[in-house]
Amino acid sequence: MVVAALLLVMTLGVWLLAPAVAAQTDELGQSLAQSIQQLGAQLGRYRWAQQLMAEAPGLGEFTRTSHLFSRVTGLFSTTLGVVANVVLVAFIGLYLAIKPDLYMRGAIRLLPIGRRARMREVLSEAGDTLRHWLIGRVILMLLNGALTALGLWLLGTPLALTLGILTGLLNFIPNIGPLLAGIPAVLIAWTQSPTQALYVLLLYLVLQNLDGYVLTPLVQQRTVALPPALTILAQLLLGILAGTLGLLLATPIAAAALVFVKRLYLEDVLGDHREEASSAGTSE
Amino acid sequence: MGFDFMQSDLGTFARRVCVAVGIFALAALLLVLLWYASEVLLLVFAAVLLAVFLRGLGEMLARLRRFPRAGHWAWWWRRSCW
Repeated sequence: MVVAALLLVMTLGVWLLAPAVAAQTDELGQSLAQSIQQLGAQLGRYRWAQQLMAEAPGLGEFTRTSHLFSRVTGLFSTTLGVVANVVLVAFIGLYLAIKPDLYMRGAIRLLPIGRRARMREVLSEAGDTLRHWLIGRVILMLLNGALTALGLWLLGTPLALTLGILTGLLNFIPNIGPLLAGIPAVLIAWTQSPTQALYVLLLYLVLQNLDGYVLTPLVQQRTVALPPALTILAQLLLGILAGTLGLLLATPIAAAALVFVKRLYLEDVLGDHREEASSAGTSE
Repeated sequence: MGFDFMQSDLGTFARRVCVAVGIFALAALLLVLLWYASEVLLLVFAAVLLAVFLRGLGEMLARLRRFPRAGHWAWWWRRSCW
């Protein structure tokens, strides 16, 4: 019941916020296209930039006709497919959240009787790991989004709130997300002045370091700590194999996979029951 | 005797080859299936993640607000009204 009420409140919130966010997103799109053209025109004045554009035709296209933006919007052109996927995920997620035991029991019954208890234990632990990872990620997303919006607003950058929300959302993807979020902010600031763009770049660098060296370690002390190299490898692999969706879900998949490997392979197959092996990447 | 030995050895070898080819074919089939179903599997994982998030948030809220579980609504309503 709490889950259904929560989903209702969240849906209402999205319903109320959607028009304002859509309008600001439109504005963001126009500003981005404008800033890309402006950047192209400014770079075109320099000889080295002209040579670079001539040698790399892709780069010339990018700055000349804002093709990047049309490509980015092209990602969302299959709106129906994206909406269908979102609705599908929401419904499956809701049903799973209301009665998780029903589905877990059903899945476990497919296994041999002797292995069921162990599998239930491992699945519960994977669920806990995912929950802790999500809590940590949501906290970091909120902190990063709020700090970015505040910083951009203090610097006088237009669309500070939308860019803050975008940064917060993209922070769902560790390491790569904040970098992607910085690009539109710097481009928007470029429409004001190159100095403003430099300030915004500095702001993102400072926030990125604050996130990497202060916020993330603090949050991970109480949630889930994944080895950074493993996270990047998982992102690379799933990003190449499954595209955007793979990149988006690479880290939680790695977190869950780590539990399965440690419990089912290291402990059950190899018989390695050391404390190191049984910590399963969590440090609560 | 030697012939029999050869015969049985060849039989074992053939059986092993069949098993190895079978395992390889199954693994290849599994990989192809995974490749084609990767998007669906990722969507299912996203749904599981959403479920974990909703469940966690719901449990947290229920702990904070002492919200009733299903079936206890009438009791909760009477208590909050009086």
